[in-house]
Amino acid sequence: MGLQTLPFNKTLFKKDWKMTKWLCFVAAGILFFTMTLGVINTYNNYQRTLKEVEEHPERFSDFDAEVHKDYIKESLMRMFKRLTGMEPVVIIFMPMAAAALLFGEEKRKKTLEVLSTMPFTRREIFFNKVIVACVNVFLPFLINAVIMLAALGLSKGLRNFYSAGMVMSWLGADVFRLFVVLSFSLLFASITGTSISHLVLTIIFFIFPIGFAGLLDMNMSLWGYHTSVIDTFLNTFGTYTMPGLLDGIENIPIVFHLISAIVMIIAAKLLFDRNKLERSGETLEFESIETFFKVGVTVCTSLLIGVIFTWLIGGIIFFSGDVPRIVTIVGYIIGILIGWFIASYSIKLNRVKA
Amino acid sequence: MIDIDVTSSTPIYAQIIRGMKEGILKGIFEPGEKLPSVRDMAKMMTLNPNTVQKAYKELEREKVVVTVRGRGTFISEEYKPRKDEHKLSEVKETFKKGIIEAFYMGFSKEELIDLVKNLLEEMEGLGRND
Amino acid sequence: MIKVEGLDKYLGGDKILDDINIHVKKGSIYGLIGPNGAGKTTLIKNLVDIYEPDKGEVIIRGENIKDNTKIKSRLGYVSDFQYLYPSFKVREIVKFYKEAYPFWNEDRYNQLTKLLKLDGNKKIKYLSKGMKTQLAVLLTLSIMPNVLILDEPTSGLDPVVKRKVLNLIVDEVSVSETTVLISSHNLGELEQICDHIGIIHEGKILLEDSIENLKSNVRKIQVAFKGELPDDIKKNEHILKIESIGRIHQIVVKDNLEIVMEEIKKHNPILLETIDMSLEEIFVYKMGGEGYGFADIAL
Repeated sequence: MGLQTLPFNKTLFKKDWKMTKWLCFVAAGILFFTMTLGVINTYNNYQRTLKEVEEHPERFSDFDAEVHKDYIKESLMRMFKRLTGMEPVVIIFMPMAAAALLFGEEKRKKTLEVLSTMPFTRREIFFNKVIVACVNVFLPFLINAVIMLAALGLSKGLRNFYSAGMVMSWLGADVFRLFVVLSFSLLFASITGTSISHLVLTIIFFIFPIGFAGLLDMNMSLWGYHTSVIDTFLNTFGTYTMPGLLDGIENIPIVFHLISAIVMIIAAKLLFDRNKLERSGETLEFESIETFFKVGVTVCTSLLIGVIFTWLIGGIIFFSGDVPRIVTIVGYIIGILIGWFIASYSIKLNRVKA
Repeated sequence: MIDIDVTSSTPIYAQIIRGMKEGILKGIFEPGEKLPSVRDMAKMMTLNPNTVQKAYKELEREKVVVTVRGRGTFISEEYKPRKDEHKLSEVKETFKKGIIEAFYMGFSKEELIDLVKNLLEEMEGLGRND
Repeated sequence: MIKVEGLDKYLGGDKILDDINIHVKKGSIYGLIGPNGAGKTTLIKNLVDIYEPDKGEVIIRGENIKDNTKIKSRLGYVSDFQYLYPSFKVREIVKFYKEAYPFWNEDRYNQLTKLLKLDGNKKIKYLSKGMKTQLAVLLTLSIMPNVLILDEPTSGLDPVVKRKVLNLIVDEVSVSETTVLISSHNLGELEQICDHIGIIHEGKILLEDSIENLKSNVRKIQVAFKGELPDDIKKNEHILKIESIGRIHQIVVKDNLEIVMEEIKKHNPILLETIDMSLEEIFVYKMGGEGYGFADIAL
């Protein structure tokens, strides 16, 4: 009976897993072919190179086996310590996709409605989705780590190139990154009513701190202000942002991100409790943030179009000095109109009819 | 089996009762015959089982049917429908139609009664001739 | 069994439901009738805890339905569109329901599936509307519900399937005394199986009564007098409508048939009888009296 008080529910877990497991397998496959396969073949490849050198020494002038070995070791080390190949893509998009499938899609297809008439509490529904999302995003990395560790156990030669510790710290660092990105995605899952707006908003806010700072910088230079404030800001606080997670693990303020991830999950839970099912399918779950959303999109679009428009006109028409200010202002106005239209349209498009 | 007009203002249970009695009269149901259960009847005719139940209870109260616990509901052996009762209502209907026609033609109540009296006398005369 | 008191619901700023009161007794089949857009689906979604009322509450089996797993474990719901997981196979959905509902009855399910030829390996999204409805009804009956709420289960089904679905419900009520609330925009579809009716129009419950009561409280009398129709009958407050063909008058009476009959007898009618009228006609008069035309209700 004690177990029943825990929100874990096997039935819900199995259902959510069934809906999302393909995502897990795709990610595991991508990681395997772009990373793990290379890692576990390192020793074979090294042997083959040695053999080739032996057979055709004329092709390799001053080849040094030890130097080559160090080179491979170093590049493997880099692979484990830095994000390489498809890894950052998987780390960013996998948690977003999992959250979109588990929340946005259930809202869009209205299956969440039927689910809420079944004997599950809201708490159980949310909790099990979070658990499934975690399993979903962690498992591909875990599987690949296990393969790399198993290869290490099977092949003595491989042990010259990497160690179990390296694999484990790689796994740990990525699980940490996935957890933070997942919490971030879950927060947006709780304020959006459908999978598409969920993905769009998550991605926009993911790049927002850097993108917006960049936009400000460009606009200020258009008006003739050159300042290093924004550069300094990004250099100091860049690692505290979401894209900062893609930096080397030693540069990331881990505690800060862990705490913010937990805060985001709690916020997501509280907001999910306030989700009204009649807004399923809408761009935003809460009417109160619609204005904020419209203004935000309008401001950003205006800043962006202002820059683009100035460049464009400057490229087409020759001005003796700088492009006249009026052109930039026209650009802003066009941006305001486009931004407001896009934001309003996306809200109206998804507006649920009573 | 029984004609039910769901749109009629006569309650459905009353229609079932009437239908059953008519069925017995016409010999569709024999005394001692087992009736379908409430469940089967409701399903057969897509009716609310509560309505069927109500009709069965009423028929039982009127001793048209008897329910034997665990065995089901049967047409009562004792129930002897008065055949004339049914016939009478048909005759009444015929009269009613005639009376309404007569009113349209402008007959008064007294004229109508006279008409009936005359008709009856004619019939009696015919009888005496026999 | 189901009790709704003073329920208001707003959607997107519009008041969709206005002070709804509903009472459904145990073991009865309650028909919620109203034209499209009257608020039937919104009301039902409030009943099954999809929507949260802005005012008032929904009480099922004595308890508020909000997040109440105990009540929900025996609450059967069939939605207007069958929102079953489209990517699931039939047998996966069945398994999901089986694990989710503690009172799931496997024998019952097997017995019901015999009526419905379903390929367990077929995905939900490839089933026809009729198949989906039947599957949903079948699933919801197998959870051994004591309250069953169905949102237009018969709309868009062919007559054979429609009858099959209604019969499943009728059978359920006779076997388990389940309380049923079923909605439709068409009175004719439900009047044979319902014992109670609630009419909803523009978010308000206009009328809630048993069919028997309805049939007995609006009656039609056919009457004829030697002379003209007496004035004090014309002015009688219990009379809803008088239609005259020559000297025959058809009088529709609300609630007080006896009083009107007595009144008429005083004037020595040459013909006095009550005549049949259809339920639809009853609604026309009943609503007509309350300021709603027949076309508005579109029964």
